[in-house]
Amino acid sequence: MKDMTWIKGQPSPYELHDLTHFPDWRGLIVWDAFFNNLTSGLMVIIALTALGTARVFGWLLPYALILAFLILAVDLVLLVADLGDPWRFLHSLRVFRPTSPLSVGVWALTGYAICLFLAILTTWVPALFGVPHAVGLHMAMAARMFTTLAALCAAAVICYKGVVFSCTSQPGVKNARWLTAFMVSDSLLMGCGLYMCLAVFLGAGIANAWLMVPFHILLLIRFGTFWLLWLDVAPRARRMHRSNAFIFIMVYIVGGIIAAALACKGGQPGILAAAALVLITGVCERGWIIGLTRPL
Amino acid sequence: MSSLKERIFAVVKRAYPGGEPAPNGRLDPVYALFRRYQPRPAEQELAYFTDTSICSGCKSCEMACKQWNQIESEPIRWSGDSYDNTFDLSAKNWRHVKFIERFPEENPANRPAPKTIDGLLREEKAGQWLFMSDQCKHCQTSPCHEACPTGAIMRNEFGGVYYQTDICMGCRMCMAACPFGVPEVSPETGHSMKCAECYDRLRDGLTPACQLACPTGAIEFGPRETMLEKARARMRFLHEHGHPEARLYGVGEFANYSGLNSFYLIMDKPEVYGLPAEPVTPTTFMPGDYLRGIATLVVCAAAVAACLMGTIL
Repeated sequence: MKDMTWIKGQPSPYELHDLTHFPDWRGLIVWDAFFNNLTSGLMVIIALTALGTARVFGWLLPYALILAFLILAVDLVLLVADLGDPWRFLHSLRVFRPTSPLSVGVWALTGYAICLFLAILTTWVPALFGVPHAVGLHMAMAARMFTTLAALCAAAVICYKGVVFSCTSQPGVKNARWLTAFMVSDSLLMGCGLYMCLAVFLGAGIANAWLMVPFHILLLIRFGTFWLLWLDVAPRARRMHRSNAFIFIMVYIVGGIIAAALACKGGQPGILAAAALVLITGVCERGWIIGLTRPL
Repeated sequence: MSSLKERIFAVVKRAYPGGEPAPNGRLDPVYALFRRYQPRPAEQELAYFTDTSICSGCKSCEMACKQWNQIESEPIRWSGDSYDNTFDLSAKNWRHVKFIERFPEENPANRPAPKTIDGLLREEKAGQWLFMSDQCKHCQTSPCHEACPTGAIMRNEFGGVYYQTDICMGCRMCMAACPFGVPEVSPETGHSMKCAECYDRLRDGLTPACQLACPTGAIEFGPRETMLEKARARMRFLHEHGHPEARLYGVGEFANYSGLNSFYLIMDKPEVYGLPAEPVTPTTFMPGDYLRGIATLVVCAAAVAACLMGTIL
């Protein structure tokens, strides 16, 4: 191009702004991401605790499964309601396309929902209606099997959710290579926090004593993955939020972690406060990350 | 009939030797909902070549596209950017003529007009007015196609990317995946829409409506190899006639993206036209992203399990 002074400082109207279409990710999508991660994180924690330390967590299992299922139901409603044509959701069950993260997610969610439902059925039916001893043994085995399968599907559900955002061309998240890792660690943390709440409400203090150390470790891992995620999205965040972004985010995330860690020392109210803090942080973080895709 | 049209017809006739394709009647087992047809075997790729150096910005292509595809007009809004009041490619605008005005404050008037074409081309320019008729790029490896969870997006036998709006559920993953900002979910129907490459016209042996309507021949359509030859010849001509800035966009593969089945001859860098200089296929990062997630999951689960089993304590 010739050096024409009149061109300098005059970008074309099609330059200097996002080229992609903003897919209107807000509201429902943020809550969908939150509940999706919450139920799947809870399920993985349920499986790890119930199958690993059954004598402590075994009796919490039926209630925890119900809780996970209720959150999953909310998530599924949000997922479908967000579609442009919700009645056509079934079309996504006609095919499996591994190159599409949403297709992977839909099938993982379907498997998770079915296995979780069967786990609840095989756990609650003997307890509510009573069955012969031999049948009860088989149902207990089936319950363990379905719980394990549900946890495996839940693990797939957690992993797809980050990829569904990061493997796009949307500014802000397209460079977020650590988004999936962050969502995985955060969903397990939220699941752990929610499980501790459930234990508080059901009066299972011993369960909380066992979960305290994992909760703190997950807090640290979540901080690490968030830091890596921040390095990926910082340029976009600085453009969107100006120079205060780094300070704000660090105060918010570090403060949240320290507050949650300290709150745990405060007995049962402290545990509830720590869990609430982790859940609120989870919603805000998802809103913030997804908000980075908004046009400048 | 031009030889190029004959070549397009030859491609179409090979695809449909017996006329309109008939359903093969195959039913997948279990349930009628799962009924589907085998995709037609791939034929020779057809492609658009848009020569922006001779585009006059008349918007005939936009009008022809709307007329043929029966897309209603949007209420008039004023962009303030030259004659561009279409704003963007969208569910209702499958073609978008872009206007880039680059004129100095003072334009020298009353200069003598050049007597020859060469003289006109070599004339010292006081300004620039760039036009570009933009559309879906029908990428050879299209991110929207990869991202679609329903199979609503298919690649037709001519290499075009076709949206089956009767299957689309409006998840907007194609919108999120496209690096060019082409598809959009219609607020009225809730389904994603974009240029269909006039697939219905192609099946009847006709060329796309926009190409037919273009009065300057800026939009050409035909077998990809033929279009490539035309594009390269045109670029050589412009280089030889004092326009070294002419360049081709989307002809070959980018560093991280496939070639396009709608490529352009542009007179400035791609960013000026609102094209990404180096588009990236989003799925390139998918294995790594999954791997990082799974690794984190394993680390977290192992830490929790170790605590619960008392090995850490």
